[in-house]
Amino acid sequence: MAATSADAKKVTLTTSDNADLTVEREVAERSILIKNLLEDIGDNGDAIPIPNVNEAVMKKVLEWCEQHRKDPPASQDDDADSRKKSTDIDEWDQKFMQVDQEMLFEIILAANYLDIKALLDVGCKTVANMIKGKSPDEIRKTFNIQNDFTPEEEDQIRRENEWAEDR
Amino acid sequence: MAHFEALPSELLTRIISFLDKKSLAQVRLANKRLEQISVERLFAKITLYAHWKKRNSCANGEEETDCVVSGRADADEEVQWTNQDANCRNYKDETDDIEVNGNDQISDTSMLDRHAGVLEGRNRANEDHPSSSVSRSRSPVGGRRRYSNIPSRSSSPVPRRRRIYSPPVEPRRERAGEVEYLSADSDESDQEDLEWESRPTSRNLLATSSIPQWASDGLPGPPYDAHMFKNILEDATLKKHVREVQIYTCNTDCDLHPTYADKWYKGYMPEPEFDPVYNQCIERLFEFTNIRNITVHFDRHATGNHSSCDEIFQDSEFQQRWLGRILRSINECNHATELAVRHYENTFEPNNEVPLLIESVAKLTSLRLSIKHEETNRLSVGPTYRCGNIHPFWNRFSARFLEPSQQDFTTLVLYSDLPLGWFPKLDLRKVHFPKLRSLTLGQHIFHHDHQVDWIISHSSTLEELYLDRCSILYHIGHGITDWLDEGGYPKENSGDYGWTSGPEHVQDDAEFSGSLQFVSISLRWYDIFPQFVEKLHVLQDFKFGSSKQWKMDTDSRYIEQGCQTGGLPIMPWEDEKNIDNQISETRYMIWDDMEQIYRPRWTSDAGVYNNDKSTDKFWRDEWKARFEPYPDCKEADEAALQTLLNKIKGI
Repeated sequence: MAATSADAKKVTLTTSDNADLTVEREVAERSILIKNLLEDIGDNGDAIPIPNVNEAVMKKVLEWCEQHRKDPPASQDDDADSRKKSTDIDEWDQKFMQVDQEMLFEIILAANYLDIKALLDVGCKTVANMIKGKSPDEIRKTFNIQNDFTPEEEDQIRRENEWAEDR
Repeated sequence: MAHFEALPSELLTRIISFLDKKSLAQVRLANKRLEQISVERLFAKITLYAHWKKRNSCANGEEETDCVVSGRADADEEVQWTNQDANCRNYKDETDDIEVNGNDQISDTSMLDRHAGVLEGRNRANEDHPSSSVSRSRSPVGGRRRYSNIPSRSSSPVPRRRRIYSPPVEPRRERAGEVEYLSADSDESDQEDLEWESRPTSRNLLATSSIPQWASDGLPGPPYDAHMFKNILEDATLKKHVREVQIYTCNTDCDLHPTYADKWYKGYMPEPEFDPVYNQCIERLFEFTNIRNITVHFDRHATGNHSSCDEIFQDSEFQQRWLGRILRSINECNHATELAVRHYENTFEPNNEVPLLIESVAKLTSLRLSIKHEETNRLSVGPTYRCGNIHPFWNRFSARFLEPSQQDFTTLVLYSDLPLGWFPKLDLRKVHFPKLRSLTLGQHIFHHDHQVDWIISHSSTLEELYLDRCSILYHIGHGITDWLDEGGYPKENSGDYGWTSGPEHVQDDAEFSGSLQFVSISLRWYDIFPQFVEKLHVLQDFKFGSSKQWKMDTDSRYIEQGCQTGGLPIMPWEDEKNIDNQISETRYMIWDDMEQIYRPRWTSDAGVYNNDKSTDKFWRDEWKARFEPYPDCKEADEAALQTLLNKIKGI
C-alpha cells in the first residue's frame, strides 16, 4: 500500500484494483464517506482503501470533485421528496456525464457508496433524462430490460395510469 | 458490469424521483420491478379536479314549472331552486334559514351538533361586526371623505344569504324531448343521485351525449370525470400510495372573472354544483390513510362578507362550506400535517375551518396560504384597503392561524393579493417557530427593523428564505390627524380607518396643506441583506425578486362600470423556488393615502380613480417638494444581494 503524501493537505486513496490516487484533501472530502473516515482515523498519512470503486471510475469521480470542490455542502434533509424535481444539469456536468452506460451506472454506484449526493443526483438526473419522452418499448431497448408483463397486466396498468394523469 | 437493472432499488427510486408523471407512467410499463418502484411515486400525489354536475335541461330558456335541481351531496346544506312561477325562482338556502330563524327550523339535531361551531361562528361574526355595512361616500364633501355607517354599496343592506335573488338566466340549449328532474330531498344520498343519473330518460340521454352545460359554455373548464379519482379510492393498493391530494373546486387557472356573469348569465353567476361522484370523493378522503398533504384550490375572486357578490363564482360561504367538508373528511384520518389553501378568502369568522383544523391537528408542520381580498369598486366605494373586514382578519391572523401550531411549523408560505404587513398590518412578533426550515413571504411590506429581526430569530433552523415581490415602505403620505400608532402602523378604530382626500377635492389650500403629513422610513435592503449574511447561519437557498407567475395587469371586476384601474393581481402558486434574483423598482414603495395605493414613487400627474391627468394642477409645488425621492441605492442593494448569494454558494 502506498504511503501518504508528504503534503499534509493531500490524501491517498487505494482503489479496488490497487491503484493509488493522491488528491487534495479538500477534493476528497466532497465524499462524506472519506471525510468521516479522515475525521475518525485522523490524517496519519495512511492510504485510504476504497474497495468498491476501481481506478477508472475513481478518477472520473475525483475529476467531478475537483470541479465542484468549492460547492456548498449538501443539505442534510435530502430525501427524495424534499429535493427539487428539476432535471436541469449544468453544462459542465452534462459534458462530464457523456460516457457510456456502464460508466454512467458505475459513477452512480460510486457516488452512492462514497456518499457524494450532488454527483449522485447528476447521475440520476442523467438517467432520468434518458427515460423522458420514451415509450415503454424504447425504455426497454435503451436499458436492455426484459418485458415480463402479460398483455392483461399491461392493459390494467394503462388503465390505472389514466387515473393519475395531470390535466 | 454495471447496468440499469443491476442498480439497487433505492437508486432506481432516486432516478424515478426526477421523472414527471407521464414518464413515470411509461416506466411503469417497462417491467414488473420498475412497476413496483414507480407506482408508489406515480400515485403519491393525485388530483381531484372539479367535476360539474350536468346542468338540468330546464335551463333551456323556456319557462318550466316545479323545476328543482338538487345540487350537492351535503344534505344539511342543500340549496334548491324552486320555480314558483313562470318567470321567477327563489333562492332558498336551508342553512341560512337556520341562521335567520334562530335555529327554530332545525329538526335534525345531529346535524346541528355536527356544524354547531360553524353555525355559531357565522352568527357571532354577524353580530360582532355591525361595521360590516360600513361604507363611504366617494363624493367630496367639504374636502374630506369620511366613513359613514350608511350601507351605500348596495341598495339593499340585507346580507347575501338572506336575499331573494332573481333567477339566473341560463344559456339556451336545444330541448331534446321531455325533461325529468332530480329529486330535491335534503336527505337524498349520493348513490340515489347516481341512480337518478343512470336512468335511461331522454334527459339523461341528452346529458350523456353532450358535454356538461358548464363546460359547453366554456365555464369553468374541460370536462373531467371524478370516477378517475374514485377508482384510486377503491383500489386498496393504490390508495395506500397516496401522500398528497390536491382538490380543485374551480378550473385549474382559478380565474373565472366576474364579468363572465354578465356575458353568460346576465349578472348572476350560478353557484357551482358538483357531480355526486365528486361529492363522494370528498366524503371519502379519510380513506387515504397515508395522506400527509392536502391542497385545496378556490377561484381567485373574493366576495367579502358584505358586498354585492352576485357575479362572483364562489362566494365566501361556498368556500367555508367546501373547505369545511374537505377538512372534516381529512380530519377523520388525522394524518395530514401539511395544508395548502389557494385563494383563501379573508373572511372574518371566529370559527372558520382552517383555524379549527390547525387547532385540532396536533402537528401541522406546513402551511401554505394565498389570501385573496375582495376587490371593491374604487369609483364608488373606494379601494379594498378601506374595506370592512380585512383589518380585523389580519390583526387576528397570527393568533388564529399560526400560534396553534407554532411549535411544529417547518414551512410557512404566505401570499396576499394586497401588499401586506403595514396596511393591512401583519405583526408576526407574537409567534415564533422553533423548527422553521422554509419561509416564503409574498408581497409583504417591510417598514421596521423588527420584521427583519423576526426572520433572523429563526436563524438556527432557517434554510430557505424566499421574498417574492416584497418591498420596503420608504415614505408615507397622508392627511389624517394622529393616524399612525407608536409602532408606525395605521390605527384601527373599530374596524374603521380614516382616509385622505386628494387636493383636487379640497377647496381650501391651507386646510389641505395643514393636514398633509409625510413619514420617512430609513430601512433599506442594503442594510437587511448583510444581516442575513451574518446571522442566518444555515441558510442554503435565498430568492429575492418576483415570480413570473405574478400577473399584475388584471382587469377590474368593475371594468364595465368604468373602473380602469385594474383588479387585484393573480398570485403565484408553488413557484417560489423558481424566482430569479433581481433588483427591481418595486423593492421600494410609498403609501399614497390620497390615492390609497402603494407605488414605487410619488407622482401627482395620474389620477388613480379616473385615470385622467388632471390632478397635477391641484398639487402645489410646495407640497410636491415634500415628496421623498425614490431611494438611490440600486448599486448598494445589488452588491449586498450578491454578497448574500455568494455566501450561500460558498464563494
